[in-house]
Amino acid sequence: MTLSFSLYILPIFILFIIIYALIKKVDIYDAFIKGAKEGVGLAFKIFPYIVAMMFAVGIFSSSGALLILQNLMNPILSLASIPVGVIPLFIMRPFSGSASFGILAGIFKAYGVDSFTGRVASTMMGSTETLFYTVSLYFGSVGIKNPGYTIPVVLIADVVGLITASIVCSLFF
Amino acid sequence: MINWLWAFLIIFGIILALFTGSIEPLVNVITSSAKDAAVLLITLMGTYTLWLGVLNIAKKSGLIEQIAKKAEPIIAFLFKDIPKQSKANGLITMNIIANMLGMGNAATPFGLMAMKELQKYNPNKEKATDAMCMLLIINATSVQLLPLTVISLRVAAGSISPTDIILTSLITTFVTTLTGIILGKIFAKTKRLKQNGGIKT
Repeated sequence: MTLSFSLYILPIFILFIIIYALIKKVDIYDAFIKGAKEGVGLAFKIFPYIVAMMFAVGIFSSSGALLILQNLMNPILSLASIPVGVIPLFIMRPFSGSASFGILAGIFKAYGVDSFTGRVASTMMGSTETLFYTVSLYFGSVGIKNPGYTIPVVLIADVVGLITASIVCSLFF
Repeated sequence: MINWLWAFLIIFGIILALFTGSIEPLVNVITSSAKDAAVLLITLMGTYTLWLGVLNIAKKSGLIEQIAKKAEPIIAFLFKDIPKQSKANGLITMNIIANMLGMGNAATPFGLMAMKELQKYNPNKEKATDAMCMLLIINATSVQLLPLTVISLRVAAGSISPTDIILTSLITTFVTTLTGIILGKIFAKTKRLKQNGGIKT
């Protein structure tokens, strides 16, 4: 139900924009082309940042660093009743969206999709975004080198998210 | 800061791989990461081009201005240092709406264009302003109402109730975004206090 409903969002969004523009007598094809021209440049502009991030994150995640981080975090987890299985996801989430989806699929396989761990992992995945990718992309595209307080704030919010997901799931399931 | 983070990921990763002997996956990643990035570039180029085209239609029709006007109280509260007439207001609104609807591919080009506008009001072109930090915080804490990709992965994994995580995700997203906004506001305020104090003394 929900799935098929949400499929409608995208086409309806586009339909609405086009019809609204036609009512307002906009030369829509011309407007589209003019706007679209910026897309190629934008993609090229952020390309070096994508390469830099994928390169570093790739090295980090292939090295077994995740395992070490996980072992470091285990004692803290048992205190807050957070399922251990979600930790690889928690660690990978800020770095890479596609890698965390791989980890989520792995969690479903290892613990079961409808297990407590599977549900906490799903909840976490749906409630945070890829921090470092977003930071390097957004700030990189305009030449910002100092991200200010962005990174600590989002990392704290991620920890809060991990705890919240665990608590909310244990209340609901 | 990004400098240090990048160096840490690479140095820590390589040294660890050297010690644990997992050299082959390391070398594979080094050679394949650039290729993977190029594949991603082509995909992004397509989606950015499409969405910036659609965005321009919405811009020309005055739709964005309309939406921005409606969302003004919220945007003005979250992004205190943006002038009212700035294009950034509309772009940020579109970015947040696209994020809420789960259209990440559309949200990114809107967000990047907003960033470009915000940079115009930035006195120090290398340091992020409070408004930029807030835009990043909102994007990175996710404001998605329906976690579609997670649900489809749950369907694929054979879940008996793939959608029962919608409510828990909504609650958690709300908490993380709120935490991010509150912390961002606190950081911005203490930074301002420090600066003011510095001038006075």
